[in-house]
Amino acid sequence: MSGKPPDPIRRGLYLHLPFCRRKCRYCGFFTLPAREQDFAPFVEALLREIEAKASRYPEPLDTVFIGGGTPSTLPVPHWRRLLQALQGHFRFREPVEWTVEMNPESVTPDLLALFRDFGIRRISLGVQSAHDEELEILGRIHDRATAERAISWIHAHGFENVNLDLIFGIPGQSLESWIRSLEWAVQQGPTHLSTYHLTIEKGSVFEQWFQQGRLTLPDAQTVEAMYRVREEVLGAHGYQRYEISNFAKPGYECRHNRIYWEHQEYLGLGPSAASFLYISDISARRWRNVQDLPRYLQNPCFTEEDESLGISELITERIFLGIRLREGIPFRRAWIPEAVQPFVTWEKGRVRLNQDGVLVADRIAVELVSALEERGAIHAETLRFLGRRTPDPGA
Amino acid sequence: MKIRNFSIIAHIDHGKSTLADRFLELTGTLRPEDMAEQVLDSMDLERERGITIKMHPVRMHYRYQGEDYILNLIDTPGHVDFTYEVSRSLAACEGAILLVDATQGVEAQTIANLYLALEQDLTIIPVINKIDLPNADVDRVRQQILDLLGEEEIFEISAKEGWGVQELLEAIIEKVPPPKGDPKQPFKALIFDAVYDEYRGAIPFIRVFDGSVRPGDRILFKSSGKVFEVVEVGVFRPHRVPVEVLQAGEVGYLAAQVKEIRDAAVGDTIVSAQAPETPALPGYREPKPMVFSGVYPVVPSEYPLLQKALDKLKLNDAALTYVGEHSPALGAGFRVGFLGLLHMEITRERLRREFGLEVIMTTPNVEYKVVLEDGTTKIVDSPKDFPTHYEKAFEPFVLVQIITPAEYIGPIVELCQSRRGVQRTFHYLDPNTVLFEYELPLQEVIFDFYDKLKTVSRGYASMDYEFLEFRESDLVRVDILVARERVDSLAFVVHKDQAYRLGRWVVDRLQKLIPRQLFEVVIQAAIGKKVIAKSRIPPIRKDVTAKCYGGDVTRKRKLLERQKEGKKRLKKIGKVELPQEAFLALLTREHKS
Ligand SMILES: Nc1nc2c(ncn2[C@@H]2O[C@H](COP(=O)(O)OP(=O)(O)O)[C@@H](O)[C@H]2O)c(=O)[nH]1
Ligand code: SF4
Repeated sequence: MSGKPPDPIRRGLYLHLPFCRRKCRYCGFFTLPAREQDFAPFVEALLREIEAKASRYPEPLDTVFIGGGTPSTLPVPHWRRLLQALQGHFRFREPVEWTVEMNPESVTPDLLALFRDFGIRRISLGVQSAHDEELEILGRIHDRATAERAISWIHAHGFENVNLDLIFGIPGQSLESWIRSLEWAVQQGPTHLSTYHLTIEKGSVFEQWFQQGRLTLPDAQTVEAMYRVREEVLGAHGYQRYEISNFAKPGYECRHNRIYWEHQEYLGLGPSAASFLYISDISARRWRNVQDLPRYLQNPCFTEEDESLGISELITERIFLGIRLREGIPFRRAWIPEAVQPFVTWEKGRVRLNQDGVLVADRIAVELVSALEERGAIHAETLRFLGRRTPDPGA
Repeated sequence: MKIRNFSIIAHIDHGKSTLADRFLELTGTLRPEDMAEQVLDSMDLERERGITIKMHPVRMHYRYQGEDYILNLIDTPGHVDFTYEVSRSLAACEGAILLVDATQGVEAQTIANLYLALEQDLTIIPVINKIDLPNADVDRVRQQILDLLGEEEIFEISAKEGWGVQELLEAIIEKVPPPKGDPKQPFKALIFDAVYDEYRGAIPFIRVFDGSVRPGDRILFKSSGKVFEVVEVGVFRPHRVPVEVLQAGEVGYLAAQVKEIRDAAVGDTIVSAQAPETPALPGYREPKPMVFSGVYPVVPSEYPLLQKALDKLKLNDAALTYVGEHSPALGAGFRVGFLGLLHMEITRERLRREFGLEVIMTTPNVEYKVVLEDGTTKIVDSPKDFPTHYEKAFEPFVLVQIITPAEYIGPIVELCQSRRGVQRTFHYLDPNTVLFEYELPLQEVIFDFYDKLKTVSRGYASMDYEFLEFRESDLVRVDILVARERVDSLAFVVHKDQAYRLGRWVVDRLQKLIPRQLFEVVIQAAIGKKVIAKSRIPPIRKDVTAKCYGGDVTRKRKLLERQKEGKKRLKKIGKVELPQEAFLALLTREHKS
């Protein structure tokens, strides 16, 4: 189906720093209590992993994303060794996008200065809400004033590419309160906004409360309105939704996260981080690093959930990941099932979600994959066809 | 030799097989070492269900007061579906033992069969069994029998212990009259059963009334007019043993290369081809299916296998009828006619055991006779074909006999009344036991009536029914529409007064069964264009993962794959998808025989 040579595959690096001062009530990530004595051995192990993986996977990286956990809990000296090691061992393909995740309470001028020194341009800050009561319910350890101070420091240090994370659907939250959070966030002048509907994660405190019936979540109608209102509020300020939960000013989409949705390669470092690398154009491997500190310290190259993916798995992933993006996925118009039609638009050979479709994206993906399957189209040709990309808008 | 032909009328578990075994022992019919327990009941299917479906006659020899006797025991099936077969078996006898469990008392099915025997003028020998049991209530049962028969001489036995069995056997010789019939007249015999043998075709079991039959004779079947040449005649010992001749009064079988079981129909008369005008014995009836159900292979690709299997079953099951039918949710299948619910269940079992086929059977329905506006009469055996407009409609009515401990009369009467029943008789068998009769539409009886009866009587009531006639009823077809599409296989015919309630019930069930779709689904029950019940399934509001990054992809994919696999098992009604199990739950409702 495609005559021209495929674009080179892009590769991102994700590094997981699991330490948090306190576990948020909604959090389902792999995190560890931030204990001083754990930092040094952890960083040692991480350095070993960096060295090993850099030589095993030498292809150049297009993006680096350091997330967590709360990466900003790690003290400056450790950070310095880490960044030195990364930059010393890996090769990069310019322009590289470097992102570090921070939480407001641990943003410090020292850390920001260090990041600048290492050429990091993008900060992703977990502010979550503009309301102290909501932050309290979520179990966050910062308040609005702390967030505002952190943002001003970030800007003061010359970081102009800043993402703010926001959560909606918080227990007790009203539509108005969500709109105020959005407006507050816009006032902070970020280039990028991630707006996540609160998910009740396995193993979180909220899950427990939910099961005990102690969680009063906004009703379905309100949540629907919260989804929709994002576009209105953020659109008015020049932010465009380019993925289900992500908005950006033109030219500021997160290139690293696009790697996931465009089914490009990523290498994950640190406990619980996932990696995805192609073996050929129709097969790939995905694995996860161990999610256990002692074992990680023992051997940072331990893996779990190692799986190889074939055509069928890759097609399914390309569809449900790709459909999340504004530009959608290549798809034959005649193959769009009737039930899906009200939720999508089709243009120039691609199907994309409309406003209503965003709310049922997963179901649409199931329908589209089933449609391919019913037509006996689960084969390499289809996979390649789905892999056709539009030009990278973030580049 | 002198002959006595008799059968045993008994409810399941009252000890018929045990008593028959004692008789066989007493008469030395099988050497004890050859004797498996209960030789009469041989089909394993029957054994498991504890019921006798097919009759297995046996010929015994007994010497009494210096005379040799041939005693033919003709077994009778104990289920309402086979009433006609029972009546034909009884027609082959001159006497019957009425066997009643001393701990249980008389049950409805026993009474129905007893009436059949009385209609045939059979000599009845009442027997109370299981008197060895500590909880035997001989007096109560004695009173019930007295009430039914007015008979003073009642035998008390223990078939298990052998008490009183010999006296009973001798009483048969004393009391049951010898068969009448003239060996000099042209040959005339009644077919009371038949089996199908893959090599020899249909083998009728016969009772010779006049004349005799031997290999080489040419015989004529009265109902079909077909002529065959006899290749073998024989008796049951209890296995088939060839003999030279079967004479007036005798019971045996004959083989005559009869290809199809239909040509050896139970109740038919066989006469000598030399005397074709010999009148047939009264009472012949073509086997007539009473309940109908859609039968579909669980695996749709097994449709051709199902076709073959039904063709084969038909060879030795004259009562089975079928025509092809199609359902949007189940694919290709057949509309099959059965004698009753048990016959339906047996057919399912036979398909499973003999052909390895799993089938889905839809809720059974009866046959309707409809006089259309243009005066023509239409027979409808599938609800979807029931016309919206008609002059008159008729449905089969049955007479239901119920025996119950008196304390459950209230709820049972209520049940019968709610099913459009009309009481005909009411009668105390003993101070605590009531026998009463209701006229009911058969449709009401096959739709979980038995289950309900057992529930309201805590298992104590027993029932039986017999066909009465077709009666005019105010019937309507209720259509079920899903997303405005009529679902043929969900249509049903009911009395107008119940249409609303049942329509509501089906709509509510569907609403619970159909998962939310991307669009709103409207479910309706309608009579013609008039909607009588309606509900809506709101569309899915939200199904989206908020956060989806590298670490989440595998888990998310697996979830989608599961959903996708689940979708494959969904059946489509128009564009609405629903789980097959859900659809089935509705198509097959809940019924038990
Ligand atoms: N105690 C006792 N049990 C009996 C007697 N006759 C039959 N049974 C038992 O009752 C059950 C049913 O007997 P069976 O002959 O199979 O009944 P059928 O269904 O009428 O053929 C079996 O467990 C028998 O052993 C009897 O006289 N006394
Ligand atoms: S939500 Fe973020 S900051 Fe809170 S515990 Fe989880 S990883 Fe740490």
